Amino acid sequence: MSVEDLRVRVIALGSPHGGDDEAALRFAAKLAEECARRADGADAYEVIIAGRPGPGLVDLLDVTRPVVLLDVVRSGAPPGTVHELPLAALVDAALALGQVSSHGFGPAEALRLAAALGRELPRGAFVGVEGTAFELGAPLSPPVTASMGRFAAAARAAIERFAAAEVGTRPEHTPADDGADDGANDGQIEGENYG
Amino acid sequence: MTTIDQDDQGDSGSGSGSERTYRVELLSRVEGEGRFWLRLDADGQVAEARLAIFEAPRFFEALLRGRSLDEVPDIVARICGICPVAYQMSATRALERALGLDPPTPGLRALRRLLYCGEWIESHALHIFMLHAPDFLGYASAIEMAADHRPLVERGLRLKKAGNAIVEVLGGRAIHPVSPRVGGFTRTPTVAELRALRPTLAAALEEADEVVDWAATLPMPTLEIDYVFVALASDRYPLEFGDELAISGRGRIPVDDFLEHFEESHVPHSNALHARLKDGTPYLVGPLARINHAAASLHPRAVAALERVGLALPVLNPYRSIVVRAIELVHAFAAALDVIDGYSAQQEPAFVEPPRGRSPAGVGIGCTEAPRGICWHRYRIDEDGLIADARIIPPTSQNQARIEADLVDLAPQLLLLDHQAATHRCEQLIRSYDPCISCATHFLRLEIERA
Repeated sequence: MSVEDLRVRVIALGSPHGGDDEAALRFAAKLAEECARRADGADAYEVIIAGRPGPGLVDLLDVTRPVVLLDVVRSGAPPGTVHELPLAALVDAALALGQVSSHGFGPAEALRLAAALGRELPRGAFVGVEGTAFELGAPLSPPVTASMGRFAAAARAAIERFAAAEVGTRPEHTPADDGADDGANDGQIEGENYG
Repeated sequence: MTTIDQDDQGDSGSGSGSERTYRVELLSRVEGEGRFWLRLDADGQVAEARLAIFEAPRFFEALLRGRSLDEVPDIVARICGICPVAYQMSATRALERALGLDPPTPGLRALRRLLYCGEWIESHALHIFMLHAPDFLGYASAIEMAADHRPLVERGLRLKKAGNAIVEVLGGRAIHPVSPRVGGFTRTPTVAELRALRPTLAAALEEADEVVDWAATLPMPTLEIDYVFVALASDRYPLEFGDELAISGRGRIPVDDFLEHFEESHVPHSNALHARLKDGTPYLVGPLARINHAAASLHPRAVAALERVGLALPVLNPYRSIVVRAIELVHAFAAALDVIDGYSAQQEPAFVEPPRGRSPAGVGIGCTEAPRGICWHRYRIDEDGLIADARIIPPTSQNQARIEADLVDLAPQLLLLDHQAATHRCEQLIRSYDPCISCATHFLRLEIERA
């Protein structure tokens, strides 16, 4: 008999080598590594480093489990601002102004497409960090680097909140040191070196 | 949504005696970011036709220098979120040729073909249904189209998902496959894993046949262009393997001689290089080039689809590429099923070790058919076995000059349309090439109300 998968689905969007566009991917890589290190395999979440899935995001969101979507945001807020929204609120918040995605079908379009097809978004949260520098090959900008700790903390809190709600208990998890807001964290993820 | 900017200098709707400019500052439904403008003088003659591409500069070529060969497939996979397999396949082929591992064994070649079929399916389904179909059916986007054509959009997502499944099983994950390596795959699937894909792919093949029939009924704008088509030439339909390129009217050349026949140049209005034949002739790569050079090599199932809808060859109307992509979808599903049915995990090793004890220094060139056309790679390896120099010529930069020339050919028709319709007709033409303008950023733009 198959056991129902109750894990929170963590989906990270972004582009490596794209300056701040890499922020969510970096944190997700760290999460995935933590998953891989757990010997008991009893993770409260699964991590999908989706990158730029285009309309494939519609399928990734097509689950009954909670989803925590991680991405980099441009909203005009100060760079490094951490945004958190209920997933359901994201459709209205995401602007499809012009070509917001480097690929013709970005996350905003995917969310709207899901809505147009009558697909209900799963329960969950969106956690984003306001980016400012997206030049190819650039490192994370100083404000985003400085906020990686807060971004990670917000993402972990969201994951734990939904994981706890799903199984009725809080999962055993000790957040790793994701860095503080003092700029000490350079945003590097072990095993992830994008040069 | 596309921002349509009516030119300040031109009186766009006033008919003869005035200059007209058709311009889109931010092209939507193309893979990347670009803009175009087409300026006609008072006599309706083309004064300027430009496609500007904000392509990632050759950052990745610089990034590859000094890297070990093992790192190359992972690095080049990051160039494009839509066609990572194409970059991996051209790179591995080039490096294997440099190392003397060429040609790949039939079993390895079949697995690479299968992986590539997965990518073609993903890319073609995305383009046909999400990016190009709205042009033919009169919608601004697939999202608007979904309200009236939900089964059509659901079909597109379903077919794309079937392609994802192939890439995931063979590539280790659906996005940016990790298993392709110089010499083979780090892991090959079990027979059971591949067979498990069969029902999904068989059902998708039936649907793909219907996609061809549907695409053939779409209203096609009239335009015929005397293209020079360039495609990989091989014993099969151009895809994962080939040592030669077929050039319309010029026979075949070895892929190794590419730089003797083609040249890239900078143009002031774009940061993507323009590729042309050495005599200055722009050329076309991609589905039209492949089918016009190699229709006889299509899978019999795809040949049947082509004949059923009566597609006349050569196909010279770029808008009709949507039909050709649909036929290639049939080909990709049918070819994938053939590989799965013939697969035996014990047949051959999944990985061939490069020979040891000799200097790896040398040059390797590889070319395969990305969904949008040939993707040509050249690597020079130093005495330490590291990449000394890399050169990558992606399909969209090869088509860029041809797209501009097509805008010129389209110009006479535009005078008969109102400004918005004419601008849209230009966009639809550009989208016919499915330009993939790789770029690094994809950020989500949000409007957040705060209390």
